[in-house]
Parts: sequence; C-alpha cells; structure tokens
Amino acid sequence: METPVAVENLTMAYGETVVMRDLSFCVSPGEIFVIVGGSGCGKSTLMRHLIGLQSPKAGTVKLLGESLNEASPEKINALLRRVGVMYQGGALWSSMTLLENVMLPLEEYTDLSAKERRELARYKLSLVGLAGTEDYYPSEISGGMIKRASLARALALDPEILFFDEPGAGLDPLSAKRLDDLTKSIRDSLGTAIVIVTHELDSIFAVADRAIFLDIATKTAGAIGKPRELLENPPNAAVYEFLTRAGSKK
Amino acid sequence: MAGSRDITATILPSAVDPASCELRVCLAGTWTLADGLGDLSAIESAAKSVPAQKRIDRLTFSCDELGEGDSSLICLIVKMATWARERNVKFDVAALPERVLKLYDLATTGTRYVAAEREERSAGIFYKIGRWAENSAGDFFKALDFLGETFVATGRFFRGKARMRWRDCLYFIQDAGLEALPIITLISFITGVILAFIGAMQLQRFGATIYVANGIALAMVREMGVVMAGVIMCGRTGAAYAAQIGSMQASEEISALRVLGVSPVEYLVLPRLLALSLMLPLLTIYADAIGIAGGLFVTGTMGITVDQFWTQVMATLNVRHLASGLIKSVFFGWLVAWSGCYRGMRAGKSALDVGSAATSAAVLGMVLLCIADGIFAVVYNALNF
Repeated sequence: METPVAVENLTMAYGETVVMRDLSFCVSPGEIFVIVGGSGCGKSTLMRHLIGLQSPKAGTVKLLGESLNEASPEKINALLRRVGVMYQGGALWSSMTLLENVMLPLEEYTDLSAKERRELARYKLSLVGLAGTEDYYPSEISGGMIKRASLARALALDPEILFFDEPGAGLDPLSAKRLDDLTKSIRDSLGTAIVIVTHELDSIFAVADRAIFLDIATKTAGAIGKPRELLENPPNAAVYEFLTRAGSKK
Repeated sequence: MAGSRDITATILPSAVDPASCELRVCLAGTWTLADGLGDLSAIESAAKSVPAQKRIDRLTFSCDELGEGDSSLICLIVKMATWARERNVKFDVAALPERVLKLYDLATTGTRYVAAEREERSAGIFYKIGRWAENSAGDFFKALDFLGETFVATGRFFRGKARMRWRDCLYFIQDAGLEALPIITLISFITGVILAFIGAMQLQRFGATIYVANGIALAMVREMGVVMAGVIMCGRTGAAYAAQIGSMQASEEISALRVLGVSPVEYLVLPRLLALSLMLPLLTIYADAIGIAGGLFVTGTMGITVDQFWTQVMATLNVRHLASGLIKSVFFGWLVAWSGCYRGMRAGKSALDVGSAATSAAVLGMVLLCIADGIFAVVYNALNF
C-alpha cells in the first residue's frame, strides 16, 4: 500500500511571504495524524497544500505515492477521488438535502443506480449517527450535525485518506468528544488514514497517533511525535508552552 | 475492477427449537462497489423454501472465505438486519469479522433522529391554494410592517434623531450616482436611437420627419428617461442592496446592531433610501439628455440639422414636462431602494437565501415601479399635468 501522505522539504508561501519552511513528514496507512499550532501559523494552508488546492513554493507533496506537483490534472482528479475532506464550516451544499449531499459524489464517480445510491447514502449517514435526518436541509440542523453530515459526504466514496479541518471548531465539548470518538471508530473499522488540523488540546491527546507542531516564531516544524511523549519530553519551549498552558487549565 | 463476491443462503434445522429453523448466509470473496450494492434476493428465495409449518427464528453468518469488503458489504448487512427485524428474526452477527462488526455497530447504534416533516406533495389543490393565500397575506403584512418601520425611521431622520452614518450615505450616493453613469449612458442613448427610428418610420410617410424631435423629447423627459433609469438602478443597485443586507442577516450582523440598540432600519436602510431617492432624479435628467442626443444622432442621418432639431425640442419641452419626470423619479428611487432593503431584511440565513433575496428584490422593484408609473399616468392625466 502506498504511503497516504508524504511531504518533503515543503515551503509554503503567499507571494513572497513565507508561511512555513522545510516541513517533512509522512502519514502511514491507518494513522491519525494531527497538524497542530497556534492561530495563523499555517495549519489550514498546509492542509490546502496536501489536497492540492495550493501549490508549494518549494519541496514536494506526495499523495498516495503520486507527486502533486508533477501529476496531470486528470491524475490529480483520480487521486482526489480517493480522498475525503471535511471542511471547517461543513461546506454542505445548501440547496440539497443531507441525503442528496452524500449522494452527489456517488453520482459523479460510481455506476450505482439511483436506488442504490440512496441506500448507500442512507447507510453513510447512519454511520456518522445521523439516521433519520436524510430529508433535512443544512440550514435546518445544528452545527454538530453539519460536521457529521460533512463527514458522511467525505466518506461517501470509501476514501483512503480523510482530511478534517478544525473538526471541533464551534462545537460544545461533548459534541467535540463524540466527534473524536467517531473519528477513532472510523479509523479502527475502515483503516483510513486521517489527517486533522486542530488547535484543541483535548482532541489532540484523545485521537492523535502522532502530531506535527507548527511553530509560528521560527516558521518551521517545532516537533513531530506522539503527543504524550512531546508533553513529557518537550523538545523546545514553544512546544512545551503550547501543550501545557491550555492543558494546565484542566 | 470487479470483485469475486458470492452470497449463498441456506436453511438449516435449528439447534435450539425443532419447530423452527436457521437461515445461514454464507459470504465469500471480495466486495467492491464496482459490482453494485447487492440485494436480498438470495435470502428471500431461501426464506421461501422453508417448510410451511416451520419458521425462521435466527439469521447467522458464515464468513470463512470472506475477503476484503467495502461499503457495499456493510450496506447489505445493514439491509439484512432491517429485513430480519421486520420478520422478527434474531440477527446473529457473532460470526462476522471484527472489522465489519465495528462498522455494523456504528451504523445501527446511536440516536435515530425524527425524520423531517415535509409538506405532502400530493396535497389537494384547495390545500395548496389556501397555503398560497396564507403565505401571500403573511408577506403582505410583513411588507406593511417594514413600510411602517421605514416611515418611522424617516420621521426620526427629519427630526434629526436618526442614528445613521453620513459616510455610508455618501458612499451609496457615489455608488448609485457617479458609478452608475456609464451604464445609464449606454442604455439611454440606445433608447433614444430606438425611439427615433420608430418615430421616423411613421412620420416619414407624411413628410414630417422633423417632428421626430418633438416625440423623442417628450417621450424621454416624461416617461422613458425615468423608467429606464429606474429599471437599471433596480437591477444594478436594488438587487445589490438586497444581497448586502441579506448577507449581513446571514452572518448575524443585523442582530448585532439590534442588540447594540441601533435600529438596523435607520442604520442600514435609511442611507440607501436617501441615496437612491436623491440620485435617481439626477440620473433621470442625465438619461433624458443622453436619450435626446441619441435621437439627434439618428435624425442627423436623415437630413435634419442640429439647429432644426434643437428648435423643435425647445418648442415642445416646458418645465411641467421636466417636473413630471422628476417627481416620478424621486418616488421610483425610493421604491427601488425600499424593495431591495425589504428583501434583504427579510432574507433567511443560508447562502442560498441571499441569492433569492437579490432576485426577488429586482422583481419586486420592477413590479412596484410599473404599478407606480401607471398610477402616475392616471393622476397626471386627471390633473392635466
């Protein structure tokens, strides 16, 4: 099996303003990998690089063994079909019901009949705990449900990698925890590699196998490793401060 | 790539109860979505072969040769579970591989939400008519409500009490005035050209081409100038007002104003109403002039000199004609801005609602503009204005 995500010496920039430089890491199959850092450090930008929405200033991003810099647009489309993304605001299409939202990727990429698509989409919604909500429009459901529906849509095509952008943002602690549990269940049962962008410490310690810490001061990766080990053995002050300050409130 | 999946269902005598039997489903091979979702035909045909006096009391699995399976497999198992539940058959998942079992648990446990209540599509025609009438009446009263609010705000404005930012007002004046000139120029000029051609076609038969000038001057100043300017502003500015206020509604900016004790009608609606009511008369005068110039351009090609044209125009127009257009323009400007703001303030909270607010603002503005123009025509006629 190909490595889901491999990043080598990645430098990200907006114009001449460098956001982060020399990032290198790999995400293994079935691993939950978390991108951590303070606000404005480039977490979301990094995710946009990983899913090919932005091109690197330097270095390479490989998705499922294919370099995004070199692949043709058709190749990239084929790659992205094997990737699911849950966006920060859910990004559900507001003119469609939840069921139709989940059905759309199936319609584009599979040969299933309308009845089968409906059935499969219904199953995906029940997988994220939204059984019975098929006919709701996104404007009629709560924030936590929107995240789940967005996850169901990301899962529609049985992706090999899932990307979550700030899954806990805007959720109450209990809903956020449930989403974390769901994340783990999905990894355990589907074996999907999951890349999460977040700054919620609870979430980091609850789900992450490994984390990369983006240091806004040095514009490099402050540390990569298991969150517990980073907490016990912080490699530098910035990581220590980030992991303990918010953590000490508990 | 298609998998090599296989499903067989067999009836076995029950180990527990001799009066009943067991349905054993044997899953094998690789299950991929490329082969479709799979159906219950195997189970159903096996269920039919059960002897009459016996019943199936449990459904079990045998998965010794089961390989990889994606959603198509779990989806089928979930479907079987529903099938079993409906027939009161015990669904024994013990033999399923752990990976599949986890997904099955995830899909079948957890909250079941109450399905959304949707209006029945097959509801009777009277129901639909009643529904429509109820909604329309509701809309009408909401519009009256908003109309009242705008009047109150305007009253406060004239007493110098309205909380409004003049900078906003100046910005809207610039946007609805200066920045609207290019499109007004284009449309008015073309309107003048078209009027000239239509007039000339008829008048040439009598050798009275020179009177085209009178016709254009009168038509532009009394009617076409103000209506065309109003329609353009409706599409250009009225719809924009609805979108601006609608998106503020969506992002709760309007609630924030309300909580601050600032009336959104004074703060957001008033400057727009003022700006457009002030600017549409100016745009109308400009449109009149450009439209007449368009007529001049056409009649010039028909052998009429600028002097002749100008003499005819001045002989036709008087202050009354000019005033009749300008009075209308103030009202039209107010109506266009009002419909834009009204639709914006009543917009829903989703991104989609902002779009429909803009569309309906343009439609409402034009409808109101036409109705108002009709009323003005009748009143002017009655007053001999």
